[in-house]
Amino acid sequence: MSTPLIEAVGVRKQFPGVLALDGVNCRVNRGEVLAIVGENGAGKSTLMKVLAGVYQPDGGEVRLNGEPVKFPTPQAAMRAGVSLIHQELNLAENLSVLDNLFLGREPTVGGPLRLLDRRGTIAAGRRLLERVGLPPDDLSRTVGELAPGQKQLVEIARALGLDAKLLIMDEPTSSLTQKETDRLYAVIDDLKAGGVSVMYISHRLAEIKRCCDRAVVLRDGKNAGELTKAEITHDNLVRLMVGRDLKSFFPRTRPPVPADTPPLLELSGLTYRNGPPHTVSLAVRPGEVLGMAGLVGAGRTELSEAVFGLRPVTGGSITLEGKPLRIRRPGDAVRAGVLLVPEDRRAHGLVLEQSVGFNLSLPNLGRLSTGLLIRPRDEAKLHAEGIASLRVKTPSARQAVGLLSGGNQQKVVFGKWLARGPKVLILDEPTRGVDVGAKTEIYALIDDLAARGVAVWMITSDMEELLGVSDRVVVMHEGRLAGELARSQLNEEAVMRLATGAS
Amino acid sequence: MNEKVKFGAALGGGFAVAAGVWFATHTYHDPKDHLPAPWSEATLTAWFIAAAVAVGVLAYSFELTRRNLQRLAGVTLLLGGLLAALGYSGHQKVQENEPLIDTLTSRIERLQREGNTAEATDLREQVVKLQQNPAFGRTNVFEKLNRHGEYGILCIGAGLLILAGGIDLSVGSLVGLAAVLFGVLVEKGVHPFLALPAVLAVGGTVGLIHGLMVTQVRVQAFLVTLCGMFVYRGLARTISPGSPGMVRAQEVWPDFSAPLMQLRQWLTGIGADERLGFPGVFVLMLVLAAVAAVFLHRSAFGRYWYAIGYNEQAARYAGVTVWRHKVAVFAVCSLLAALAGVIRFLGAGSVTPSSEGQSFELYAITAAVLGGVSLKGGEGTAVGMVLGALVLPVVNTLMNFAKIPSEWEPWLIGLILLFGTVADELIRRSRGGR
Amino acid sequence: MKRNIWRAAAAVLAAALVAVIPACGGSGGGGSGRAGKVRVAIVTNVADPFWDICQAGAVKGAADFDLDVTFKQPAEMVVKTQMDIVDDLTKVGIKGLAVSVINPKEQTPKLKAIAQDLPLNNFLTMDNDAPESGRLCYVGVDNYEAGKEVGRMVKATLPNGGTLALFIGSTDSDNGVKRVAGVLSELAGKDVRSEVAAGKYEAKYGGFTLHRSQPITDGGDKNKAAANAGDTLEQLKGTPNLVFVGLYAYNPAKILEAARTKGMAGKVKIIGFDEDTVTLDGIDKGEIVGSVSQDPYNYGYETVKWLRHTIDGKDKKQLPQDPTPFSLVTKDGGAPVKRTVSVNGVQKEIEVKQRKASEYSKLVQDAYAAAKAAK
Repeated sequence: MSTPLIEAVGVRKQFPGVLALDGVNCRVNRGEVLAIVGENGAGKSTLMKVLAGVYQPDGGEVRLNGEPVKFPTPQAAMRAGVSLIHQELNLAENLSVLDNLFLGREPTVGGPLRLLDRRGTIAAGRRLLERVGLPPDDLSRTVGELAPGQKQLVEIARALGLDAKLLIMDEPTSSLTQKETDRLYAVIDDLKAGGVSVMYISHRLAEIKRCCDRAVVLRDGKNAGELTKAEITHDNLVRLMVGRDLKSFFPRTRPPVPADTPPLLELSGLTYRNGPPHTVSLAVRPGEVLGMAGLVGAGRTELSEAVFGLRPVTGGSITLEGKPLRIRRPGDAVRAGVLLVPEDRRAHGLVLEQSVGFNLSLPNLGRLSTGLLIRPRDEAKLHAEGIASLRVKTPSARQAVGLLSGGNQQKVVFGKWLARGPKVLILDEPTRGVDVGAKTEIYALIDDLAARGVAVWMITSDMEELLGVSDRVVVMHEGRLAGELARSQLNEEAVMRLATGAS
Repeated sequence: MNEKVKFGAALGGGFAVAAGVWFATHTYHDPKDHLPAPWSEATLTAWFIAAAVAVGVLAYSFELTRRNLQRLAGVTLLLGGLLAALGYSGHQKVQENEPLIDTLTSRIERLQREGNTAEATDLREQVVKLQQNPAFGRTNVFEKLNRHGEYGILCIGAGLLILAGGIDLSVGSLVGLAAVLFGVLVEKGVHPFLALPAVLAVGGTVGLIHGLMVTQVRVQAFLVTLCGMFVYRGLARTISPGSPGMVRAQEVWPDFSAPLMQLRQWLTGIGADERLGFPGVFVLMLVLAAVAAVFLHRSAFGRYWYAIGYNEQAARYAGVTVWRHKVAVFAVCSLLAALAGVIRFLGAGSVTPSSEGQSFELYAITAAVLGGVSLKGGEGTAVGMVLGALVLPVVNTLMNFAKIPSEWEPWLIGLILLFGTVADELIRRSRGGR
Repeated sequence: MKRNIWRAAAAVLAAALVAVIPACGGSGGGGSGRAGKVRVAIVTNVADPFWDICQAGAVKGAADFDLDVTFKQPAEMVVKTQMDIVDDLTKVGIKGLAVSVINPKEQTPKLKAIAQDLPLNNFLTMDNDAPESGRLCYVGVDNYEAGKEVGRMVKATLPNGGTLALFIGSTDSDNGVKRVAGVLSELAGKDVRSEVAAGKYEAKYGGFTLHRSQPITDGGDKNKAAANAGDTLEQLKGTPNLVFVGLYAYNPAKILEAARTKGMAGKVKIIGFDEDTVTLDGIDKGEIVGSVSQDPYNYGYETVKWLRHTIDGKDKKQLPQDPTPFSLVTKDGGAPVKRTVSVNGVQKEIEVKQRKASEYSKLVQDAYAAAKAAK
């Protein structure tokens, strides 16, 4: 066997209270695309950060071309040809794309004067953008005005500019549209052909199968197994990741909802401020999961925000249980029982620094208070019930919610609404950044809620999830409803056709 | 723990603390520290009970979590050091008296041998007085507690606001404006009992305007209140180019003499004979802190303020009407600043429009930060605010006790506060994980 | 993690030490060096170079009369700030106290209580008096008479009258009213004290037109004082027989600086008060006609002297009852001149010292150095 490009041998990394990596081995050969798979908290990100010089290993070693190396800083790793593309994008939002591409290594002319070589920079920038499939005009745009998918591509272009020998990507496609994802696959194929290696973290199993040569599975900070390209199957991956077989990925216990059931929530001719010129009408019946598909930027999140009172409604009407509902602010929606699990749970769904209990209580305090004072015993009961019924993995209700894994965080977001008894639950990307184990639990929870008569409106970009969970699907395209598909008509092509606007 | 038991324990603890302070300060009884005539035992008892209950409520409301304790560790250690230094500087004063004490003692012995007990007793009293540490004399403690109260009132307002993600730079100017306005109103013939609510209403309105500017017009709080800082200072100078004062007001309106004195006694504890009978401002601050503690730690309001301070969007997505809460907190901050202004007028007897309360906003913010309120919002406790507000008065007293030249004071104070905040930060970081 | 806690605790202790060290250094040093010395305190109204000169006098007095003098200059001219310092100092066993009172009327009741509590009621006022406070004596000039001296200087400079611009920090303070009234009374030839106190001014006083028919104030803000002087110079450019009078220490200095930048130094007559470094330099160069000095060094020295007098149990009747005489600062100095002034309501003839600017300047510099060394 030839010497691998980079190799981790028995790497250990200890954090206060957690052993994140416990003797992990892993190697990447030249021109190989390696997938790192595992549940959240399995140590994938830590491993990548150790390889990229963000963290120093507490034990074991990293070998580059067979030689032990130490990267004291990410810059050192970068000089050695190892580039990390972060999960949270690391771009200066206020600068232009061009400035970001060359940030910290601006080509200069004029010797000590360090004048910026504008012309050379622009030419080099254009070549980089071309490689990731972005139009050259984007060079002068400010990063802040780009869509998340475009930002991701800029980030990748920046790493390409560094002549990386190994590109480490931490969930690079989590915010990309299908088109952008395809472009990324093409870029990865190009890199591979050029002898560049790629390490790739993803939750999307189909994606791993599409572009990786090999998959290393981590569980609880240890190697759980390794799969060759041929062995990469959904079942194999899940078995190694979870350490057990999953009975059913998409549990479905609820009875089908009769078509003549009167809708619980109905939007008719709805428009909202700064929204598209089209009106939107749709209905969700009790006990039903309405899936909503569409490309990034199709206006799905915006529509849900308008219904939840975050964007002022300018026309049309919202009806709840047959009665008109006037929503001016989120408080109105919450009181009416129309609840939103937002897309960005870290920014909108949770107060990360505060405890699990604090977050569970937040929308329920009115019910828990007598006069001015909160009843501590009732509150403790609420916390205990919330944690137990949702199986939130936390040492106590006092644990800061930001320290939990993505899946458990999402359960807390669900938990704060469940305690209120929702009528309509709007889920915006309910399993983004959630590991496989927690995903099934959330799907079971959605099923259970629907079975209890809650109307669930689920916005998702995960095709598997859309097809597996929904009873009915509506597809949005450029701000309007492009079509509706009954469960019997559901398949990936039908959804994509509607989502891309093909007639 | 059972809530009722906890409440009882906290209340009992409050009484114990208050009683301890009371007796400790009484042991050093100075013949000249007589109880001023206007003080009845009933008034004193009422003050005492109010203080004890307030301490109890504060203790009861404080959530005994590691994180909260950690936030208090820095300021507690700092205060401990400062108080020790203060006590030590007082102790040195006693040492300076030692030669005199020796002389007096030998004289007492001689007098006793001669059988002159009356004179000996007189002298012994004098010796006892000389042996007392002046830092812990009753009047001194009461005066310092009152100063603590003044900072504390401001700090509670600023602390609540910062905690909810706001900032108010106009506090100092507003203290000046309120103090001047109260004086001008009384001089113009408004009854003191009416002038007080009027000034408080003005303060509250100013805060409302701040809050509305921030939430509705979406101007940054820093900017709104920075402009306010200039506006209120200017207003204070405009409505009274001279210095309004209590004596002047009483000359124009002799009828107001009694109510003014009464108001001063209730709010500050200074009797008609100009002597401090009880730390009234301190008790008032304790009561306000207790109310703040209940709101902050025991009610939905506090939860919302913490949530808003950390993550306004998350609060909004949870159905909290964020702007109303922000406006309310701005109003509370300005209202307390106005109250502090009135107390300042009553306590000092006269105020200077051009510089009264200058840079108090910074003192209040510093005190809040020392007390564990995070400038980023979302962190802080009522007990912390009370402790944080104690640092500056103690430092100031230390400056005067330890014979430190005036010009050293600013940088010494700056360094001590810096050390306090840095230590606080280190402690927090060492336990915070990251 | 344990180790971190201790490190943090060590940091806090270090912080506390910072507080303790000066406490030890300050009074510990005092304990050994000045053991047995009686402690007295002087509290001014605000921090100012004027008081630095005074402090030098007090330091000299402390050495001559064997006292431990604490000299405090409050950061701002606010009654509460000043009284907080006084409150603190009275707790550490001082045997005498002198205060430059900010607001005599309003501070009198509280000062009375403090005077009663001090040993031998050893309480003096200086610079600004509170006659009803129970103070044993007042060390300071009569600002009204000092103002009249400025008026005499104006008349001597421009015997045929002219245009007068009057600059002062504030006309609300007692000394401000008295100085302004003194100048204007002298020019008008009649007593205008009550009018000035009520804020009523006329357009003309004797042969002089009062620019803007009122004094120009800056509220103690030196930048504003400079702007005021500059603006007024612009407005009055070309007016014949121009005289600018500055009545707070920094006013004449700011007028001169403005005149220098506009090339009007020497052309406009400037008459001042006190002994700002720039003022003395201007007098020496002939750009400023002269200044009336309160002699702050003497304030400091005299105050300590009289505090000691009472501590020694000497006769209180020997304490000074008359205001301290002011002096004149001119380019060439000269023999003392005789002036008839009203002292406690009685007309008296007094001698007014004339100081040579260059010599006085040296004295002031020495005083600054002495004050600095004392710190």
